[in-house]
Amino acid sequence: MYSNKSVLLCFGEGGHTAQMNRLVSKLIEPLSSFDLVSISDIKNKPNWSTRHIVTGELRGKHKHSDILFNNGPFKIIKSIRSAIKNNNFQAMISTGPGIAIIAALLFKVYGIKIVHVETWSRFTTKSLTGRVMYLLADRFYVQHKSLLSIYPKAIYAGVL
Amino acid sequence: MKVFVTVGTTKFDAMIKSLDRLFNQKPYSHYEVLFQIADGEYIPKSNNYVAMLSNIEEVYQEHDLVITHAGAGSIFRLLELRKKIIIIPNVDRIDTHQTDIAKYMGDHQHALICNDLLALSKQISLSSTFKYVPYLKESFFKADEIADFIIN
Repeated sequence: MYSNKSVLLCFGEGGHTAQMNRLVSKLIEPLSSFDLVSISDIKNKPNWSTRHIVTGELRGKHKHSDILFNNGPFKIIKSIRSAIKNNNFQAMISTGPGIAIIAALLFKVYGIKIVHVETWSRFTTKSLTGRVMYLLADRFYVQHKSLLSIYPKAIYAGVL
Repeated sequence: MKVFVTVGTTKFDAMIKSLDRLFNQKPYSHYEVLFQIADGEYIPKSNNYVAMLSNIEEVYQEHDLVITHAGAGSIFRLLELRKKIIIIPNVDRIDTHQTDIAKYMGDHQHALICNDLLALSKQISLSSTFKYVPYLKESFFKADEIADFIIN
């Protein structure tokens, strides 16, 4: 059990990693007293991360049916539950994709703050992750003004 | 004419294959093309190729035209550099985000878009005269607000 206050940073591979790296570079100073716990399907621990958790992703990039035939979601639930028990989380921040939904559902149950930054690759349509995170997140940020018409309660934040 | 073709981190063999066939044809014999194919299985025959590049910024600068998959990271950087680009959404992927960003950039004339791999030659010839509208990016300004929300 780590007693220091911590934040869970939740992100997937590719563009989601790039966005999280950029976001953390801006948060690292104001959150310097916090442990930054990363959770991702990428194997390498980011250099800003205090502790890194590797999970599977919710679905593959090429087939919808992946979600039915892998045990990814259960593994993710298990690893996030044990992370919540072992850390003193004050909040989670996600940049997507689907893994964020599972983390957010669990954080909701435990009453911990949830911040989501919707992906920079959406301008006029909702991502699956965005659709769900809009309902779960305490703060939902978008990177393009054009998204405010489909997410009226979102906060415009500029591009990472 | 120097053309750079890039797929980013995820393979996109359909795009590489179509472009390789096109650039193998006579009208394109004076084109100097570099393909970046990631973990793609199709190997280009018409020109040079690499899997990944560590100096991609330099490579962008060295080329007159960049033909790119619709990855947001690549697109934002290329538009920041004011490069002439043709965006090809990767429709092999199940999520639709590549179509979204490509459509937005096309509708606002920040880039040329190619949804049909058979129409590539038309877009390539159009790129030399197309009036590109610069994309102005506003940098992220809510980090302090997020930190305050977490701390308090």
